[in-house]
Parts: sequence; C-alpha cells; structure tokens
Amino acid sequence: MDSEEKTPIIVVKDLAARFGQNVVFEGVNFHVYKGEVLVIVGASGCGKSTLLRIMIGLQKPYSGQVLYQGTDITHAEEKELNEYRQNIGVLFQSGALFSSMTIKENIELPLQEYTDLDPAMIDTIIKMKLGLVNLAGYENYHPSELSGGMKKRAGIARAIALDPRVLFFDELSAGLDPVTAAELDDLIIKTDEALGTTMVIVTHELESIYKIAHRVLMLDKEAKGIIAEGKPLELKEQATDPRVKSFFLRQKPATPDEQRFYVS
Amino acid sequence: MRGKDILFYIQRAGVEGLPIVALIGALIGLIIAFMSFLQLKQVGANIYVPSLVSFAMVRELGPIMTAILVAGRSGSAFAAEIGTMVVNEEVDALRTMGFDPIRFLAIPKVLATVIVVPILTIYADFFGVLGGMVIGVTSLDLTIRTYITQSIKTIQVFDIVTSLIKAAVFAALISSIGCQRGFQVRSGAQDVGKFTTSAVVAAIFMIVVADSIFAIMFYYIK
Repeated sequence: MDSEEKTPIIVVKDLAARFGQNVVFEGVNFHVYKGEVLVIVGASGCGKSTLLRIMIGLQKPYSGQVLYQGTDITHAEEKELNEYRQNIGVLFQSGALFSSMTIKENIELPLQEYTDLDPAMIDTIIKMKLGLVNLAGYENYHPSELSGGMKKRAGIARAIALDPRVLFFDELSAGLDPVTAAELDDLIIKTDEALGTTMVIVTHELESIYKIAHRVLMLDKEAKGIIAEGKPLELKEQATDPRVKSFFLRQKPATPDEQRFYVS
Repeated sequence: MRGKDILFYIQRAGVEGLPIVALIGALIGLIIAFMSFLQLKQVGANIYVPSLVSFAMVRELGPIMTAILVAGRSGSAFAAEIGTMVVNEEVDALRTMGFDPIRFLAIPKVLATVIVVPILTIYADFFGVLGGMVIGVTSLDLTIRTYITQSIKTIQVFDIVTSLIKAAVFAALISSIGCQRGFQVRSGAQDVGKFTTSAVVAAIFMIVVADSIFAIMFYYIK
C-alpha cells in the first residue's frame, strides 16, 4: 500500500478510558486507513480490548472521539450508531455465535434484518460465505458441535455476511492450534486482498503479526497509551524502546536496572 | 424471528409446565379440602368445604402457586440463559449487529409468559377443585354433582377475572426480573449462578408484595 493513497476511514482522537478511578489509557491518537490490516498489540491489561470495544461502540470512552468517516460514534445517537454497525463486522474472542441457532441461522440473522434479499439468494450468500471460511456443508450444525477454530471461522462468516467495510477481531488466534491459526491468517489475507476490507485486529501471535499486519500499534500498561507504531519488521529491527524490543524479539524484559537506564 | 421465539417460550414456560402445575394444584386442593373438613365438621358445615376450596384456589392459591412455580421453572431459566449469553459475548455480538438485546431477548420471553401464566393459573384452579373433590367425595359423603354445583355457586366472574389479572401481572414480574438479572451478569459461571438465584428470590418476593397490594385493591373495588 502506497502512502499517497492512504485515506483514513477511522480516526481516533485523544481517546481516554477509565475503570472507575483507574486510567486504562489516555491521549490515544491514531488513524485506521482504508484497506489496511492494523494490528493492536500489548501485554495483558494494557487496554487493547477496551480500545476495541470503544471502537465498535460497545463502551463509552472517558473522553475523546472515534470518528468513522467524520461521524463521532462515541457520542452518536442509537440510530447513527446502528448505521455504523451495519458497516462493521466483529469477531469476538469466543466467536460469540448464538448457541441456540444453527450456523446457517446465525449468518441468516443480519441478512434477514438488513437486506431485502429473497430466501434463495440469502441461502446462496450463506453457502458462499461458509465456503470462503472452509466450512461448506456445516449449515445445519449447532455451534456446540464445532471445534474452537471452526467456531471462529463461522464467526468470521457471520461477521462478513453483510460485506462490512471494517472488520474487528478480538484475540484472533487465542486458543487455536498453530495450523488453524495459520489458516486463519491466510483467510485474513485472502479477505483483505479480495474485498479490500479494512481490518483492526487484536492479537498476541508474533508469527501472525509478521504475516498479516500492514501496521502495528503497541499499547503499554505503564505508559497508558501507544508506545510504538509502524510496520512489524521495522519495529522488530529498529525499535529502541526496550518494551517494544522485548515484545517483538519475544524476550524477557530487561532487568530493572537496565530498564531504568533506558527509560530515563 | 421473534414470532418463532414467542412460540418457543410458550412451549417452554407453558406447555412443559402443565404437568407440574396440575399436580401441585391438585395436591393443594386436596390439602385445603382436608384441612377445612377437619374444622368444619365440628359445626356440621361440611357442605361449605367445596366453597372454601374453590374460593381459596381461584382467589389466592391458584395464581400465587402457579406464579411461584413459573418463577422457579422459567424465571430462573431466563436469567441463566441471558446470563450465559452475556458471558459468551453473544449479547455484545447482538449489539454490534445492531439488534437491541432487550427487544431481541427479553420481549419474547415476557410476552410468552404473560400469555401463558393466566392459562396455567386456570389449569391450576381447575385441578385444585378436582383435588378437593376427591376428599369431598371420599370423606365427606358429598356427590360429585353437589360438589360441583356448590363450587360453581361460590365462584363469581369477578373472582376469575381478578385471578387472571393477577396471573398476568405476576407473569410480567417474573419474566422481566428474570431477564433483567440475566443482563446484570458480567463474567463467569459464578455470576450466572448468583443472578439466577437472585432472579427467583426477587420474583417470589415481588409476587407476594404484588399479591398484598391486589388483596387490598380488590377489596375496595368490590
């Protein structure tokens, strides 16, 4: 992706989140550009999930804005928020499929609600989406009959049912075996290339990050904000910040003495 | 979609609850008949046993007993179901797909219960009278015909209407408390247990409070 054709689709402005008195993060500013795969990383408890929840309108920030094509979704009315929600797809950590419905009914739900397509057409779309995630033939299974990786893929099929412009993934490869995780990575790359979907992904998996990320944001618990931003390989090779370095090199953080030396 | 959900919960809360409601109703009728017989026989007023049973069943015991059974069967189920959905992020998923969780999850349950509990209550009343009749016929030497005429003479339309109104209000209380407790779950299995318990306890408490208010209200209306 050339830097000239970068147009921001989501702008996060001076965002701050708190749990009661605890500041999770503050002063978070970044852009999500059209068509890119942005990965958010950071140690547990740094607020990645909170950031994601704010970006999809599930949680209100303490202050700041999230602009989707100019509309502030943190202060939007329910109606505006619903319009925004039709443009996004979300994959939750556990897949969050409705357990009382079959896979087909899960994917059918948004299609019936937001399109005027006739049942035959909806059927075709469901088959297509399931084929895309390699789950063809699983229409009539219940989520409880699927493995963890299959649930995630079914979750993706549901998330892309309405061809959203932005996809959000929470903990993409958490709890998956390496092979399944690699398949998911391929799926992400395929979807991004085929549909030009913008993606915001929270993950820990270094290998996936190198494979799929166009850009990485690193949040830190102590700094309460973004400590690094850039291409994954550049961050790995050029980072001077010990926290970033240890993450990308998958090392233990430096000893307290050294750390003090670096930070000061 | 939502129509299908309502039918599902009518089946769950209503149809599947019929046997236990009938059984408990019949047993309560039996007990009331027996207790009143023990007292009334001292003054030779056995003929009033059917009146007492039918009056007590229709006015008080039928609605309240059915409501407590539904609170235990369905109020708890609603709380656990919604609570588990919260834990599994299913409620979040609904929200991000632009569905209002209250409309999608709670309303069908509330509507189904409000439809079903009055019917269950009538059913309980009927079996209560039937249970009383067993005692009436076996121990009181009343004929089935006398028992039935005596019961019908006692119950007025007003009693049945109030019984149904009470049942509908209890149903609304049980189901909305159940759903609300479900949505209060934040994380984990323990939370689901905690709020399921709370749904039943709060519902039974509110049923009794509402029943007291009804008792006073209907006294003055009449």
